[in-house]
Amino acid sequence: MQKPKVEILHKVRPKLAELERQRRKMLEARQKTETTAILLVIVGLVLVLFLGSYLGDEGIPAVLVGTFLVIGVAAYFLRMGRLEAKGDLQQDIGRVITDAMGRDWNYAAKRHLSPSLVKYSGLVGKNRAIYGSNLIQGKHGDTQFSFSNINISSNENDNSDVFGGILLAIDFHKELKGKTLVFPDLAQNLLGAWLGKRVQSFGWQGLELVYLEDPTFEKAFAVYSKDQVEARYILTPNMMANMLSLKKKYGDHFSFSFTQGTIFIAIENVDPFESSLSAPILPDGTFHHFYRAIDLVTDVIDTLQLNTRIWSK
Amino acid sequence: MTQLAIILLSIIFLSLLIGWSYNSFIHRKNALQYAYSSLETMLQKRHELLPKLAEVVQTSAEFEFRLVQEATSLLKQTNSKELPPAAMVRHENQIAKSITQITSAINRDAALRQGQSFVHLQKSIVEVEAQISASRRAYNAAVMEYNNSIEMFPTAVFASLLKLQRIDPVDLVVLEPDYTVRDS
Repeated sequence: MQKPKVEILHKVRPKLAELERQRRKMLEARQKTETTAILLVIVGLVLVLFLGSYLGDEGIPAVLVGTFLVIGVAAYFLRMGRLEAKGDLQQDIGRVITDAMGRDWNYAAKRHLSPSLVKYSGLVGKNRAIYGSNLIQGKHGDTQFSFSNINISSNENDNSDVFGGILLAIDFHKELKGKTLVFPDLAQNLLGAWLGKRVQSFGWQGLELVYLEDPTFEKAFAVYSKDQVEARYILTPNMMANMLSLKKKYGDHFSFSFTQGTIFIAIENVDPFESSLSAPILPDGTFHHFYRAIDLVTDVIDTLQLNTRIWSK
Repeated sequence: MTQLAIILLSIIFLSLLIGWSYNSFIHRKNALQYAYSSLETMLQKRHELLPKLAEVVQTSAEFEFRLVQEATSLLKQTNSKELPPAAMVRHENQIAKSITQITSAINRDAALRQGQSFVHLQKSIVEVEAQISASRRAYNAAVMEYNNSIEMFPTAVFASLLKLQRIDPVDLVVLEPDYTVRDS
């Protein structure tokens, strides 16, 4: 990650210092609440046990119910207090940082890219449960984008994620009719070039395999598209080289979806940019997490040269 | 009985192999034709740029109009859709060379170069050429698939029986107009 620009640090430092004071107060308040809750639980349990000894054997069910009730209520209030404090702080920190990035930038701690948009990208299978947080919308150069933490699980009842990371939606200035998807080439790496290609030739969600002429790109990525010509219109030699640069820099974390007007980029296994009440905001705490995500996203836009336009001399 | 079963299985296996090979040839041949027709469509878009270039230069008294006339006559003389691929490529490369000469001449003329119509047209040229480049790559990829199928075992055996021959990829020139690319 590049060091934050001096002007950004200059803008955010006073406001984050104020938020840092708030964080410390909130942390102290939370610690007090926790201490009070623990004391109340102890007192509650003593009372329940006292009641139990008074009632004798017949009072055992009442003791058990009372114990669970006391612990449950205490845990509920502690959790709610933590979430509320963290949510407010996260929103405030994110707002300060995005305001410093530019007036086209926005942040919403509790929102994320809509599930319909995530499904439209084609990067996730159907019938998936999609949730997330930390939606950032902005403009880098002339290119508009939005991204958020996204977690995807197989279905509503399954907590294990099939995807966890950042999903990025960036404006794309090429007119497209269909969809072109680019995934890390797992099949050819696992099964070998010949068998891997045979497996991939069955296609993906109604899209056919596109075999490109760049052997390094072919080894790194598998491309599926509705239209062989359109896939090559998007994946110019220059674009392929840029995508390989991203892979070289960050590893096998990137999947791409090129659709009409938008490129979706799923970046897997990236640390979510969350605040923690117990960690300081500056210099290596929440600000660092936020800035690292923003730096990654702007670097992706620069590396793919999505800001490049053609101008007459 | 065992011999009969072996013969029957062999016949079924051979039939399946012949059927699969034949279908694979047909699939690749159709893919090749589709890619070629896409290429022709994109080249037609390039042809449509010529009248627009003529419009750009018509206001200039000093422009070398013979360049536009040469390019237009090239288009009128021959319909490239009727030519075999190798001749089509030669013909299209001549048209590309003519367009390059016209755009270079426009770029030498400050008034024409800065005109809004030329600025827009340059963007169209870049767009059309990007599509021609993509179509050329798609066609050449289809050619490679086709050539592989007629040269590799076991399909090569049936390809020689059907007298299928290698096809050459096209070496079509893609224009690189005189424009600047920079970050916005």
